[in-house]
Amino acid sequence: MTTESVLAIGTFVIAFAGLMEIVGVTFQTDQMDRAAQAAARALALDSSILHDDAKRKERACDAIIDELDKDPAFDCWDKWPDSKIQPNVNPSELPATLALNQDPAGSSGEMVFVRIGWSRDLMSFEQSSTSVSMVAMGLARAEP
Amino acid sequence: MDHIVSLSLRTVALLRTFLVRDRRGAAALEFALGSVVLLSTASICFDLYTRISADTAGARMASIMADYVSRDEHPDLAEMTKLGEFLYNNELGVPANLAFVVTAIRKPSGNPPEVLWIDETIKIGDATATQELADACAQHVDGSPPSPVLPGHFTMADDDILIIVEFCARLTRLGALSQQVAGDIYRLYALPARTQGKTPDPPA
Repeated sequence: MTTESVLAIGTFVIAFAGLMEIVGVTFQTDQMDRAAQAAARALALDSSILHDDAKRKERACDAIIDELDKDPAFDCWDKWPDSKIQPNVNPSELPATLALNQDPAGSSGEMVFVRIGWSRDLMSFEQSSTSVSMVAMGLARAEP
Repeated sequence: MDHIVSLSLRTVALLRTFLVRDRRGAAALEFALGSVVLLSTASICFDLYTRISADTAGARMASIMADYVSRDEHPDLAEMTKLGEFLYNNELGVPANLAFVVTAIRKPSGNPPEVLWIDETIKIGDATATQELADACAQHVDGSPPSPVLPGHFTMADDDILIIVEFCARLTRLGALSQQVAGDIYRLYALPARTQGKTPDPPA
């Protein structure tokens, strides 16, 4: 096998892996966005639990587990510690909710905002130490 | 005549020297051509990825806006606009011109559905482009005065109120290549109004 052949095959393999990575990222990002949206909708439907931190975390995680088809014992908040739920936000206050630990002061809005801070290992290698941080968000309007 | 023949022969000989015998620089030439092909393929893949992401984000944006409007008896246009801007910055995340068209449709008892109101004021980006998008975006109303064209052959029961949010976007930088082939992004989300029997006002 000539050097040129080896280089050509190498280039092809890298290009193919890159393409697969793009497909994987697209799929997973969309899945996480849908999970965050499902969590926000689930919370918005039940105003009785909206202001109970433990209950709303549990309900949101149940919705995420359903959407992602994960094991029922999956702990969303342990797996994604950079996540938060803001239960009463106005659209005008939304930019502030994106920053962690920066809740809109005195918010009394009607929207439920769910932010999932998740990470993705590059090239999906099991032993990969390189990961990229991603954010998925969901928004829904709570029952009046 | 001899002079022309002689010149032609010399030219052919020269070309043979460069193209056939002299292989110097051939690898560089192949590399240059190969790079163009690889970079073009990478650019197209990235552009396509942006387009697909924007398309799915558009669906989510339409559903969030519909969810927000459908629960309000008096929709607040300023809040809707802020929500649209937030979604543009954080869900779409790529430069684009976009427009939301929100339509409320009611089915009076014993009569066919009618358009209650249409709002086309939430536009983000270049004024001319967004106006063009908004004009083409409302695909579920027809004629003047507007009559509803229900999506998916929906049927409505008497006194039902339906909120339809149509989202149209034109990517201006990333994804603009795929835009040339696939056209503008169009997404629709329809929800029954959840205002407990009260007719929602036009956004103001």
